Amino acid sequence: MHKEKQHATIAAAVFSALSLLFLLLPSSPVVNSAKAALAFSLLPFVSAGHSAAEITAGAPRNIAALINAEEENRALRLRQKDADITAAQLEAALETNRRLAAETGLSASEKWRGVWARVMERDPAHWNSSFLVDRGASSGVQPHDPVLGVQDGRAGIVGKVVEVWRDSAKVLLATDEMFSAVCYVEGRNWDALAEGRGRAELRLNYLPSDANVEKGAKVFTSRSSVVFPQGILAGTIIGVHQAGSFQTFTSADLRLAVRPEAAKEVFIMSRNRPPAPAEQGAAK
Amino acid sequence: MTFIRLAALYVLCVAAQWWLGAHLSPGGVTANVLLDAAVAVAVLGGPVAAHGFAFMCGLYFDFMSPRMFGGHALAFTLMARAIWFVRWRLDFPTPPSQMALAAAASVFAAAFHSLLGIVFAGGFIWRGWAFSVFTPVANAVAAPFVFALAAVFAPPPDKSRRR
Repeated sequence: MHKEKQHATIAAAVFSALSLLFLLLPSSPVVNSAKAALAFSLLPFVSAGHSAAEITAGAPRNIAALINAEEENRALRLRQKDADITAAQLEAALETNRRLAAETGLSASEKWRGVWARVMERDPAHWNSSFLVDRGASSGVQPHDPVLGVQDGRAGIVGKVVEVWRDSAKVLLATDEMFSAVCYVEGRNWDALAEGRGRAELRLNYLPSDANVEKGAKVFTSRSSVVFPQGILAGTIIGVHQAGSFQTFTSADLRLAVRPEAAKEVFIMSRNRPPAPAEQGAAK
Repeated sequence: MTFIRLAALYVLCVAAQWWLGAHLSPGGVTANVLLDAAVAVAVLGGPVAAHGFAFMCGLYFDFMSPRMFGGHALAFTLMARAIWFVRWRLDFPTPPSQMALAAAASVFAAAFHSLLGIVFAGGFIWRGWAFSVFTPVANAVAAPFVFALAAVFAPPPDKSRRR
């Protein structure tokens, strides 16, 4: 009996000391991590039924980041499925377009092909002029390939390739003074020339003098553009300069849809252009 | 063998606690099956089993709300300590006494854990009137069932040594 009491005292002391140790040690983050990891890995129905924020409440940042990544992954998979459906619809629309184009004798729209590249270097001296990307001739990049970026879920022009090396290329930005592209204003028939000015906004020149262009109108690349295929968003009109006594055409200020200085990754389109006469001669 | 039976009881009680918390907690009040089980094992089990089981039951609640990790474990261990020492003086086999003991134990454990908050969490932990009043009642109602379950799993006390 006395021995049993002794055991009870020892057991109580040991377990109380253990509890106090847990209380004194900074064990909450460890327990929160273990709890989040258990809820996430052993009980998938728990993680599916709760948001990542609920599961990771109180957990350290690295564990929370892991679990948040899984939730993001789930959301992205769903978006990927939506994108697959949209792509299938677009493919069907393109096929119809090709068929109608063949029947009417018009050239059909090209399918966008190309490679994604990362911006690897910007020249501070030519910030609005150009940058280098980590894809080059080995990835099929050629001079004059159009370069697109994505911002707010929409693709838009960024510039064009001007120099190509084996594993890198130089992109002339749309904001550079040497850049120009034939564009059209949404809902209008006439073309105009978007020209870089060395700053954030472009100038859309050669609009007809009676063009009734309004601020906020979207501008897209035209079929007449040598570099860009038709229908790529260039930007939005933010100001209109009407034709006057010293200017025979209307012009407009254009804000790019994708700001080149914000681009981290760009899509370099490869277009199947007919070879130039000189290239044809060399091939022969 | 005792350890395995106690482990089985623990798993069963954890599952029951989880289910009750998810499906039967009107107004956030639910029967504390693990506390009842800790009380039952403290009455029925040996010295190490009584304290170890209470510690593990407390640890479950600490794991579920780890703001003051170890607080419930300490409260449950001390509760088991008190019960283990008075169990021979009281008559626990009848349901009314089990219910009274469970209610008293839950008040003690909740009060002790709340007071621990002054030292370790920077203030008295108050869970509201509904929790403070109705949880001991719910625990008391569940106590006879948990005692019956614990009697199946935990080794019965040696009566010759009780007197």
